[in-house]
Amino acid sequence: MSPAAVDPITFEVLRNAFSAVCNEMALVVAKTAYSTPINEGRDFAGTVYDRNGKLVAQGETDLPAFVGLTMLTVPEVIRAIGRDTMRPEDIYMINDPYVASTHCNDIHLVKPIFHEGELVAFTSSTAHWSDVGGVAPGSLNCRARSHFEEGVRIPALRIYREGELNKDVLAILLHNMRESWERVGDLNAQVAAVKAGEARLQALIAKHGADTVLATMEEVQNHSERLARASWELLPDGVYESSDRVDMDIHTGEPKVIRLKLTIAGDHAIFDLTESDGPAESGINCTIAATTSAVFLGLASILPPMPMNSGIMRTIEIKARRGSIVWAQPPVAISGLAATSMECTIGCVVQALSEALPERGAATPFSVLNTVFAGFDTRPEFQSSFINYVWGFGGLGAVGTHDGANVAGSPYTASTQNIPAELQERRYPVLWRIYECLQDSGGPGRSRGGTGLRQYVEFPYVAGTISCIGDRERFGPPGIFGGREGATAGLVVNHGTEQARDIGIFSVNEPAGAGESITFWSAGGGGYGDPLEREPERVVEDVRDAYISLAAARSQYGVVVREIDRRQLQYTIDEAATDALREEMRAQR
Amino acid sequence: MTTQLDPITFEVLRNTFTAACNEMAVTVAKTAYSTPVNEGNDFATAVYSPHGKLVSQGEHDLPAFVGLTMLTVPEVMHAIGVENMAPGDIYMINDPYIASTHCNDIHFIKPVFDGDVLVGFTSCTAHWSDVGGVVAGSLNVQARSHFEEGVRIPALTLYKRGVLNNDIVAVLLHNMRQSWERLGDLNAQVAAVRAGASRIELLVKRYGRQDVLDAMEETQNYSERMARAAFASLPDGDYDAEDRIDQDVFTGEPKTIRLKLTIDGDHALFDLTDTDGPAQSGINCTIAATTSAVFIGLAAILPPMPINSGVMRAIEIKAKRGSLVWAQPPVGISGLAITSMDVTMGVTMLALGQANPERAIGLPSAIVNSTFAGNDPRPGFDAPFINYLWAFGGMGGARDHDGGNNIASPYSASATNIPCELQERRYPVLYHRYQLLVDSGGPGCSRGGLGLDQTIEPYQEGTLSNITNRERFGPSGIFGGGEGWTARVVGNPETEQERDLGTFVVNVPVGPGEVLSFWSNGGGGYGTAFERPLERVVEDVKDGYITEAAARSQYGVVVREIDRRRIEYEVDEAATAELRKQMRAAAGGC
Repeated sequence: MSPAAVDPITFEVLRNAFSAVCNEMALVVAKTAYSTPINEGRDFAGTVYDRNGKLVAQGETDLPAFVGLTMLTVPEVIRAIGRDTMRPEDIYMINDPYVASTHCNDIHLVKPIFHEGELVAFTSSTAHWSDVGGVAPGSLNCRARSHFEEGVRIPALRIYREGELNKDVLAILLHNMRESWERVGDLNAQVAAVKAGEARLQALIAKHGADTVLATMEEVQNHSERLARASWELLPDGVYESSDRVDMDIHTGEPKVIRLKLTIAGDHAIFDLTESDGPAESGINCTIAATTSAVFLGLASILPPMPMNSGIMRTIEIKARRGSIVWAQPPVAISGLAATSMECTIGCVVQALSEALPERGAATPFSVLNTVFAGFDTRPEFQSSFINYVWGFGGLGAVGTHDGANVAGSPYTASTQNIPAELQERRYPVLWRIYECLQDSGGPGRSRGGTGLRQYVEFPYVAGTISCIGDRERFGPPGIFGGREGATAGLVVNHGTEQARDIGIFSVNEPAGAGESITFWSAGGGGYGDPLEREPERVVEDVRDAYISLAAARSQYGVVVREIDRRQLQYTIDEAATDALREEMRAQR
Repeated sequence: MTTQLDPITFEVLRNTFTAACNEMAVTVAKTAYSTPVNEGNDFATAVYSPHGKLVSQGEHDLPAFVGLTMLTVPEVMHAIGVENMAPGDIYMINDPYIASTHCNDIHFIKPVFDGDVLVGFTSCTAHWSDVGGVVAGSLNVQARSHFEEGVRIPALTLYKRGVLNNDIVAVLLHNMRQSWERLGDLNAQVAAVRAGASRIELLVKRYGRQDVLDAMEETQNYSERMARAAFASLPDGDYDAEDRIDQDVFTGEPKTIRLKLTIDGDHALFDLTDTDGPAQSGINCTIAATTSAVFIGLAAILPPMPINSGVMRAIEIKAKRGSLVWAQPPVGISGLAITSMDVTMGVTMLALGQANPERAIGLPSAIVNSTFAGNDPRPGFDAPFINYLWAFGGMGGARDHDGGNNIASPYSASATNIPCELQERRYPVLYHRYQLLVDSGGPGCSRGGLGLDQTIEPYQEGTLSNITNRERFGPSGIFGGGEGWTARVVGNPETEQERDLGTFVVNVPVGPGEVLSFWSNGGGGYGTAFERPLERVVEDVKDGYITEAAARSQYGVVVREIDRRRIEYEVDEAATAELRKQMRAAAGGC
């Protein structure tokens, strides 16, 4: 059927209905999953695919990180299971990082949708399970040397065959993951989600007819393709290069570099990552699915808004070297990719696109800190093992027209929510003492980078272990167009005491005793433009808001601010001294 | 139960059960892909009654699997449900906490039917070279939980009415190294249980169902009678024994296993409740392995008898749930075989030895379990490798004879040395030495057997993981006998670069060019060394088992070399008498 057969009104109705299907799947998962990162943190995605496994729509509240990769998931399921053997009541499951996913925690369920005996579409639900086994509770093991240390790897398989649960496969999974009762809840939530998605799609087919719905699935992709091509057309043709570094491969201590050469040619773009470093020895390698997602996230955050689906794929080409840090081959470790190589790939894309489109350009954001406190809660009302997975938000990169947001989710995790301290304290043996914007952490610039987040958490009741995977402990997020780096991240046990231990953000199963604490802070975003060009009034406003200190106003922005009454937030600018200082600072460059 | 079987038919059937096991053993040994299985004989086969009771095991099986396989089939019956079992089914399990040792030991179980009546089970257990986890080879002594040790497989239906559940295989293979080998192992074991089942079916066809079932029952009764007779022949009483594992690697402290054996008429109680609590590292013992350890200890000291569930009726094993000898999830267990299981076997031998001195022996060597793994880039290989090597050691001395040199302990009696030539063919290593360690046997009236010096040089860099006990505490002697030498794993021995690699380590980078020595224990001695007849001490010097210095310092025998090449030595009898007199006096004048 030709796309022209769908009238514009029906097209818009159906296009939005596909998103609504995804949103409903998201709601089902959010309300019923047992993993805290899913039900509170919204670390999930719901998606609709056409019969060829092409992405048609994703939910509006989904984790952006899942966008690109879910384009690879369903085609892999089709390849591995075989289209001809698919049956209406089947549900497939996969998390295999090397062919179709990010880290092993992200579990995909995929349901084929049939109409009158014909395969017409797929629904899918992806969610981050709190634990999938491996050495580190929470399964984020940045010291892993292979996936055998990271958790269970699940190839494409039938978890339901014609409506019948493959109990034996489930039994293996549950015997190899921690808190297995939670995992059953997560699985059932995702099963409910893909079924809910199917019910909605079937209702759309019943109402509008299969031909119209299928034609619209195709046209939705054409629509996004046209939008993407129009965007590329807007940008000047040319080659834009960028690079970014992961702090270190923990087993060598050396940084790993990701290099991008972006070529814009008419209505098409090539993202060439072939000059990126070879594989890392530790768990910071990126899978090709995650690399694809990273490219998508980067372009989504710079280009004008457009519905994300496989139509956009037709306008870009991603090149990478198989086996390199951005295209991991088994068995190299990958569980820390989300905070490291994947974010740096996003950073490269953002930098390169910003050069092509400065008015929408942005400096680099912080990298997510994934921190896990795990152990056994001996308190009488608990008496069970626990995995307290905490992620820290941080500073976004500044853009031309405004400062980077403070303590926000990065483009990468824009949908996720902070998990409230009160809820953490209710579920886990922790006590939150500090959750605050970290002063002076935003990268200085004409537009300032957002501030990082400092958290101080006590373990008053029981001992446990701490694992963390993050990045930007050595190299802060770069600024752009003269803007400066955001401040670096860190993690210290018993910070500020004589028992302080700087275990850092690449740590696995570090013991923490009852009564100890951790303090961890995320990076600030990079700045945009020359900080000496920032209007002094905005600098003083930042001082009032305590985003920057008096000292930083002077040393970073060349603005001399005098405190009149701190409690009443009264400050004044010494304009003469400021002019002199800025002139001197310019001269010193 | 009394039986109508005539004695001839009973003996024929009893031996045929064993023959069915042996046939399964041949099948798995000839077809499995894992080197420990096809060369090392690290497997077991068994026939069970329809009630899940062990009837017979193969004659070439690893003894370590005996006791635990008694728990495996009942667990499978419980988990799957007998009512759900059907012809063509094959079940699979390795869950350590319920029914097995470490995760490497994979059990396949096939129900055998006569029409629709269940008449028994066949099973095949084998040690897969790798089942995932942090360490290539899956023996991770530094594991704090089973999540670091490999894939844990609950009882599940691999084949349902002859149809393979492919998705199970896919998940397993994606989480184990060298997955093509694992598939070969799986198919070998499937072939084995099918071969065994067809033998039992033939027996049913030839002798009739009732005779076969009666013979299964009577085989157990027979062993029960022998076991009860054996206990009845021992003096009633309490016999205490204890022994230590070198260390829980996370605390550096030893862990102690304590046994109180009570013999009461024709029955024995093995009470392990005073044993230490759980270890933080992977040296905890599962209840299945503890049961096996008691069985092996008992089989080593009591007169020979067919080991099956009938023997279980004559004994009781007590332990504290959650203790070192009854691991609860998720504590680490992958190093149990060489540590807690071996030591539990040891305390059983020590306690039974007190009750039965004529059949007692000193403690044997702990097995050196090492895995050298990496990637072999040589042309024709170009693949990752896992070179699993074990070293045997000295057996304990017995009343009437010295301990065997460099042989497998009772625990792994069926295991065979994997030939150097084969190791060199399959893996990038070169053997420098495979020889007895002089003076390593525990001194005694009967000397402990000698340990082994196995020295290799890798061509490729790789990582070395070791799980070996008795680096601190050698195998004890009994009745005044001395300890055997402690074990060591050493890099670049006897050079300036010499380094102790340790026996409780994982993934230590080594080589190429670094020579690696694995030195296993000597066995414990039996009786006081200075009571050993002079001529036997001289003979040991001639054989190169002990040095002249040791003859003097340990045995009080002054030996003089006359012509070493012609192996001529003489004893200075006067000096010897004087020296032994002093030693007796120092020992308390006995």
